[in-house]
Amino acid sequence: MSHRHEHTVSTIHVDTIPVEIHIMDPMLLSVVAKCMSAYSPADSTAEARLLSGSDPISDTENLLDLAYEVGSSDNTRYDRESENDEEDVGWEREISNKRMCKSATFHDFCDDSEYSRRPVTTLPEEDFDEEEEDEFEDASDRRELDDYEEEEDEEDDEDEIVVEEEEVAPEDIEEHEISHIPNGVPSQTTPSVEDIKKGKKKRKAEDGMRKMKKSSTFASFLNMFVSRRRSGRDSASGNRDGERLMSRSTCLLRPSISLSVVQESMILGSDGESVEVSPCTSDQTPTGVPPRYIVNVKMRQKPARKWSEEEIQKRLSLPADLRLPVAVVDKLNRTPTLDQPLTRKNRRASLSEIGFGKLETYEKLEKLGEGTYATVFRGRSILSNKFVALKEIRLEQEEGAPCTAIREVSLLRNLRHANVVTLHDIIHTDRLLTLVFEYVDRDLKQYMDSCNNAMQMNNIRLFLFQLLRGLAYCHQRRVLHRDLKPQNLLITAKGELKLADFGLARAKSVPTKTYSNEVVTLWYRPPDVLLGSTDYSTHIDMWGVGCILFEMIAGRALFPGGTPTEQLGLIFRTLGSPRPDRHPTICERPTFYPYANRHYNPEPLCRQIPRIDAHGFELLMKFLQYEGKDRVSAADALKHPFLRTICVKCCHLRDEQSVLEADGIHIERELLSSDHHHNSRRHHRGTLVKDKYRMHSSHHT
Amino acid sequence: MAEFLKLTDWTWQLEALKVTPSILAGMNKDQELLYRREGIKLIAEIGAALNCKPRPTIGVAAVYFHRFYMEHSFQNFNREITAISCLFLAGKVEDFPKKCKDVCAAAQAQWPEIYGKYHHSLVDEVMGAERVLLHTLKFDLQVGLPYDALLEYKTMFPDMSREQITDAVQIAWTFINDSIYTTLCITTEPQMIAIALLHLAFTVKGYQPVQQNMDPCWWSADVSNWPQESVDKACHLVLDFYSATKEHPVLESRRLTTL
Repeated sequence: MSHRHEHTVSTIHVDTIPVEIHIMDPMLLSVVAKCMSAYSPADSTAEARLLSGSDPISDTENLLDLAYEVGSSDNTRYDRESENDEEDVGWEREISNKRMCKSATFHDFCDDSEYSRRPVTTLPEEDFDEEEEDEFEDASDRRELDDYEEEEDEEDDEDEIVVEEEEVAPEDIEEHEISHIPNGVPSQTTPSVEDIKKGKKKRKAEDGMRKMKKSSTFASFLNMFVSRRRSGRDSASGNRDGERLMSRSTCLLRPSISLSVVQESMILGSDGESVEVSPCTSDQTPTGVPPRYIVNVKMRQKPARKWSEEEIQKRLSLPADLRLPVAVVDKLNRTPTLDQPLTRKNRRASLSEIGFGKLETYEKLEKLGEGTYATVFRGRSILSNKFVALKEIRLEQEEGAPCTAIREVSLLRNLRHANVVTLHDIIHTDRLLTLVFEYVDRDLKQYMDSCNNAMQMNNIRLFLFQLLRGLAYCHQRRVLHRDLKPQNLLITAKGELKLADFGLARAKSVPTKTYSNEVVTLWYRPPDVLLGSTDYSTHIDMWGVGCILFEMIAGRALFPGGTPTEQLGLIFRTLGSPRPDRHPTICERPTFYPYANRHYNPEPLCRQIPRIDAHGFELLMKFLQYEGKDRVSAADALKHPFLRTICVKCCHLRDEQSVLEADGIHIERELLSSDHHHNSRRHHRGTLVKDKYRMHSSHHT
Repeated sequence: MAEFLKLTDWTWQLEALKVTPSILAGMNKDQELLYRREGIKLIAEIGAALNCKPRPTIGVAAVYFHRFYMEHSFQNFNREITAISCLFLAGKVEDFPKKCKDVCAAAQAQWPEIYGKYHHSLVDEVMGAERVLLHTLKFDLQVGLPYDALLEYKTMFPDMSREQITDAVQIAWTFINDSIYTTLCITTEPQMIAIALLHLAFTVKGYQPVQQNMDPCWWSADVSNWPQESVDKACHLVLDFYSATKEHPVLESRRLTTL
């Protein structure tokens, strides 16, 4: 242990490094040589065998040759992918920009800025096994490696002893926690002495059961799951003991599993974790908590102080508008949770007490719409009394959670932006996955209809700017939307635009050839995709932006095709036939042949939208390019002269700040309005509208 | 897993590997590493049978697998079921969806000794495990892999010839393919893995990248504060895997080892 520290010291001295490298080389090679025969495809890489198709490599070859060989057999795949990179110029550029800012790439998906500033030291020196290093630096032989293994074994034994010494502790915490975690049983007070005694007896019995469980299979686990479900949750009290036993080993089976994504302000926990899980997971692995810590928990049975509602809100960083039920405040006061240092686990438990992640917390109101894989309801949160949108996704018996739902959840939970719809909570039950979104009562389609399809030019600019801002944010995080259309752009009462429905979106990596062909709604689908291209990138979304911009100005869809053929016909007739010299990727597609003989001259599009200015028309045409790489990127479009007036006022905003927070930015009143929004206005009672930026839109009149 | 050993949501300090749920439940460290290797072996082989590529599907499935067993123990959750659930879920997330029954059929065809006993209940087992998996991973399913970072580094060395760098990148690529068998992905960020294994590739080939601006190491421009030693340690983790599998090829007996 003591000489461990010697190792941690001298690493950054510039002059020592070359020496180290020098020494390292032969050493590494010696180890490599030692290990080389290990590298036989039969046991190490199925990949290698699969690709090379060669015979298993004999022990006598060295790793160098082998790595080389595997590398070259890997060649095909690797080269093809790098080719894609080169095609995808826009993306490449973004990547190289990214390199400029340190470590941006791997912190993209961390939503806490605290972590992006963290000095990047992933491997604290003393953590690494010392002996290994020694063995290596001595560049010694096998024997020493064996020694090392022996030593490590000893170390493991020590670990085990520690566990045995305090084996009772995990049990204690589990018992203790169960008492204050809501599991359908009415609130329990802190266990009395008698209870504890009973608990001990029970624990012995449970220990026995647990030992049996070690050898049990997944099948038995599932059986238990099924039987529990059958027996029903509100079974007779006589069953309760048995149920409790069961719920300890299968706590994941509790009615709802949540991530409690909740509110923007509380998404970032103090420890940087973004999303919480209800206590069911945490008490499932009581052994994961270091024993010493648990003993402390056990000791403190009674909270020393009484917590008021405000204090609880502050402690758990809850949004201020949340009303905590009296019962919850009482209950939290009976449990020691709030007195302990607030760990994620505690906070999760408390959040679950409050009701995040539970279906009961949300009152289901009328159905708003039905999609291919989900039904959307308007709902109300019992906690905040605000409206929410509940997206119910049916889980299939044979396939589980649908692809689209999984992708939508996993992408949205990492997107925090004023122009992207907020995912508040996730409720995962046996049959349903319910996503709780912020509720916005209108989409852009309805908005356009409401103003008789003649939107104010300034509002068009504002919506376009917000659309591009949201898209730029997604694209920067390698997320494509893939399904842009006015119906998927939500417009709040304040005039904020939010991207919604990420069911078809996915994280963008370097393109692979397997994107499904049928993704973008026909009218907003770019010609390259209509012709069967699956090789797309962020520019796939930009064509749709152009179509939406035209629609906002003209009041009608640009290319309202019914079939892919009709859609392409409309596009070519309006914008002119693609030319082999200028649009090679379009014209080279085999699916283009049927269109190659017909020749159309471009129609003067600006005549259809006389009220657009020269800048606006120029920008529109930058979106409507046949070649994906010719389309302007969202980030560049934000800086276009057409949007300059907004851009200069908004450049200082943080991601989560709305454009409407900037001085001098406001929605103008649309000239014509229908009665529709007088009705829908009621839905926004709870929405805070800052007086300063109060919107002067139709439904305030 | 102990909260204070977490570096980020899904990376842990190396110490955490000594107090995993499995170890706390009575397993020793070597056994656990072996169990992890066996699980990954199943993912890789069944994935290959389903035409999945290491990038992204198998790589992502492996990361799910390693993360899962930082939260749960091998004693409570069978690795063979978790392995195919990870593969199934990774397919959904990475846009290579495979039907659950296809995954199960491939598993039973490839490893009858292991999956044969489940007969027709395998699909149900996977459905049950998917719930646990989604719950454990908190729906945080977007995983960065080292491959992307590696490709970025391809253009970082103007002083090397195109052949040299391509060569090195391909060797590193292979190392990354194999690194999924190790616990590297739960202690190290993907970009760091790419750096470490590219460094290993350079060392193997005897290339010495020219350092610019007096930076101590070639990666200092990208990731400051990451000392040579840590990089070496990451490399050794992969090399250890090779030496471990030389003595005992993973699943050589085609049966899972038992305690």
